[in-house]
Amino acid sequence: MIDNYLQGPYIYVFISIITICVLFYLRYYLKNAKKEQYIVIGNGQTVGKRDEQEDNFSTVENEKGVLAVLADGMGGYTNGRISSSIAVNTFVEDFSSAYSIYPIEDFFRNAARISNRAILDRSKGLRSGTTLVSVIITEGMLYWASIGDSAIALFRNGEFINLNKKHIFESELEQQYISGKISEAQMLNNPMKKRITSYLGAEVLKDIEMCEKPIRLTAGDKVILCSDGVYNSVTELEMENILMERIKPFDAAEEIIEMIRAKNFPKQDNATIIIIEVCH
Amino acid sequence: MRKNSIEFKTGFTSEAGTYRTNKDFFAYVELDDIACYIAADGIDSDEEVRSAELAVNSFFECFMEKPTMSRRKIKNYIMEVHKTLIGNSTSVRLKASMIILVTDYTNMIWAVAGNARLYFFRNGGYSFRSKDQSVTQMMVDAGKVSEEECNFHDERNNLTSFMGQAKGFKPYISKKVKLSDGDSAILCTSGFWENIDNLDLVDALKEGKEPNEVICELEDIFLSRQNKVINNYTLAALFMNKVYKEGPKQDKRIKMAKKIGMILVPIIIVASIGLVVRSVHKKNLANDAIAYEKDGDKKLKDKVYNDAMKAYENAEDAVKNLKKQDDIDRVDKKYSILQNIIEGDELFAKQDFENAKKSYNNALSYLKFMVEYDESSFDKEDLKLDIQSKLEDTKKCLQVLDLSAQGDKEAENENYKGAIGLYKSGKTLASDINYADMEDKLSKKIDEAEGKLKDAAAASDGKAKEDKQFKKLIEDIKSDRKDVDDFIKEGDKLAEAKAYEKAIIRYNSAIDGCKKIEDLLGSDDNKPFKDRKEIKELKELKDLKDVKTKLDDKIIDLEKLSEDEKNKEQGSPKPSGH
Repeated sequence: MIDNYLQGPYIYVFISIITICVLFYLRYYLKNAKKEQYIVIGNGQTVGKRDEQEDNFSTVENEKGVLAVLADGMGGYTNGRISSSIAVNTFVEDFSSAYSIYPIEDFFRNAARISNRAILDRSKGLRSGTTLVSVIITEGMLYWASIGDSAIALFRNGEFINLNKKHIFESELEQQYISGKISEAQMLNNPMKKRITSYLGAEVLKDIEMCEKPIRLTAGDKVILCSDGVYNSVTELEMENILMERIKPFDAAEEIIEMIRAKNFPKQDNATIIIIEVCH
Repeated sequence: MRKNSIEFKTGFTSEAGTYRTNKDFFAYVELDDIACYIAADGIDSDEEVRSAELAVNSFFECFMEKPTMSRRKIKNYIMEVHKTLIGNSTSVRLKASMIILVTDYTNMIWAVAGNARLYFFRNGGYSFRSKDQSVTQMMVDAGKVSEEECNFHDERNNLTSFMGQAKGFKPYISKKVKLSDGDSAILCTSGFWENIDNLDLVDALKEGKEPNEVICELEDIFLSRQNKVINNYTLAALFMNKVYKEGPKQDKRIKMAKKIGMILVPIIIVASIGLVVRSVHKKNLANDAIAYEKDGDKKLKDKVYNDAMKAYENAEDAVKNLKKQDDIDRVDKKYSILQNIIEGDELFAKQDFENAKKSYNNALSYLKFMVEYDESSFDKEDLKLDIQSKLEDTKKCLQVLDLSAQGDKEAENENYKGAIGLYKSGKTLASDINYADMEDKLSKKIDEAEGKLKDAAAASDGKAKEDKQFKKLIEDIKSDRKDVDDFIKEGDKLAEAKAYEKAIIRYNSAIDGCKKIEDLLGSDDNKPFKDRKEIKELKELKDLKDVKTKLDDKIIDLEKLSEDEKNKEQGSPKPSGH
């Protein structure tokens, strides 16, 4: 009896039904499959018109998450290159060796303190320092910290969102102006207004700016870390246009650096950029 | 001029907060019949261009040129502002949030881009606020964030739409809201509303008698919070103590209804006339169609097919204008029947019987479909018989042609008798159906075939005679040769018997026999046979010449011998040759 069924057209009907069911299941599975987010990192760097590359950067990706750190050694001081290198290495080592990076605010703070001490020790009384911006992306959340005038920005839905402030004397002048201590002219004409007020390598470390709350990243977000050599040479709009292109972060970073080179400013500072894209 | 009949009061403040520059901007204009109030918040980082001020000025440029309460036009103005911001973005993308309130002192509409807000109050109480274009507002709408929380929510400044946006900018324009005396509104930017709640607003409005008092009160509340960072903030209060009342005559709805009526009434009249004319025209067409069809039916009955077809053609035109599918199909079928009959007749006349047959068959099939119509105006059976008769004639004609062709084939094969038989059958059939042309042709063919038949018979007689003559010739030759041989034999015997004279006579007779044979072959009657194979191979003729030569030699020899013999008998010696 069963043999008869198997020999007849029923076997084909049965196979067809099974196939359709499998296809429906596959469709459902693929539609509802949780898309894993992953990170793609790109970077670019140019020495500009300076004799030495004083910018330093590094990115680390391990089971704890992704760390990106960028330091701009201050050329006005001696050992700028070494300072930026110490800061970056300290952050990387701490991130790699730490059993846990939580709470992340403490991680940033401790790494900054250690870097500051190491730079001071290395400088042996000579004045040297570095700015530093760093981000950690873990479990889809973005944490950031900043000291100095390097920039962290989030590029989302075609818009630039600047995350950190620039720790320069102009900010203090602004406060003095607002509180009525100085006039607007004094504020605007102060020659020291672009001087960095907070940096690693200072005797008293102040103004470690950190995110108040982590930012949940979504697919397509791009986190940008760059030194002043980048944002002083490339406008926000120019960067926007490049970041809106459907290209890999590495190519975008290269394109931005190429643009800086093409502009050929006579006093072009060291320029470094890291682009971290969240993909799925 | 409405402004004379209203009492609108405005107060505002716009401050930089703890920032050096104020990127907010507020401006308003109160015209005779319309007023516009705008609060904008520059949300970019450009230090040189004040995007909010640029946006507000750009809007007023459009608005002052054509003041309007039209939602569509206001949206167009906003899009113009948006383009202006994009056009002026050089190093940094210029962005702005904006709240616009437009009123004709009776109604108001508002437009939102970003998260600048309008709060509206009626009878001293909070009525509603404009919705932000932000992630927080989406969460509020989805019920994930409460209204109370939304002013302090993290995503309040994460905007889904704002002026200067790279792509996807879509401002919100409200519907008209009718104003009442004593209504009030507050326009503010996010720097203000993120530090205040609705209750503070209501309290301030209750306490303040003038807009500026309300502004001061709210600013006090706001600043008393002593926040470390105070963003740029803008706050404007609008008291609509007395709004403009539109009387019945001025009621825009009535005006609009009148306008619509003025447009619609003539349209309705024209349309009605059109419909009446159309209806009359249709009726006439229907009458025409019926008349034409009846005429066609009558002529069809009388078998005046050409006239019937013309009538149906007219009926078809009339029916097509009526657009009644059943009528169109019916008349069309009648027309098609006639068309095929006439076409068939024409082809029949041209003796194109194959195509005529097709046309008649088509006519029959159309007639078959006519069964579905209840049609009693003409006798379908009669028409069917007529077509069938025509079809039958056509078939017979085809048969005649077929018989003629078969006869031709037989004649080609020289079977004239068979051909004549087929021709005669064809002729009879042609005669039956009065196919005179073919009848004549077949008569001629019969004559022709008969002639050929006779020729064939005559040719057959001549050949027999010739054969006989040939046979006779052969026999004569053989007989004469036998005589020659007999003479030679006799001559030889006589020569042996030394009867030379007699032998010579025999030999001469044999030579004469040979000559006779040669003469026989050379005669005019026998010349045609001279080259025949049988003659050439006849053994009696092969050695005839040799025989003749030999006989001549023998006669000479015998004559010598005979002379010698005579000389011997006379006793005189014959002179020797030696």
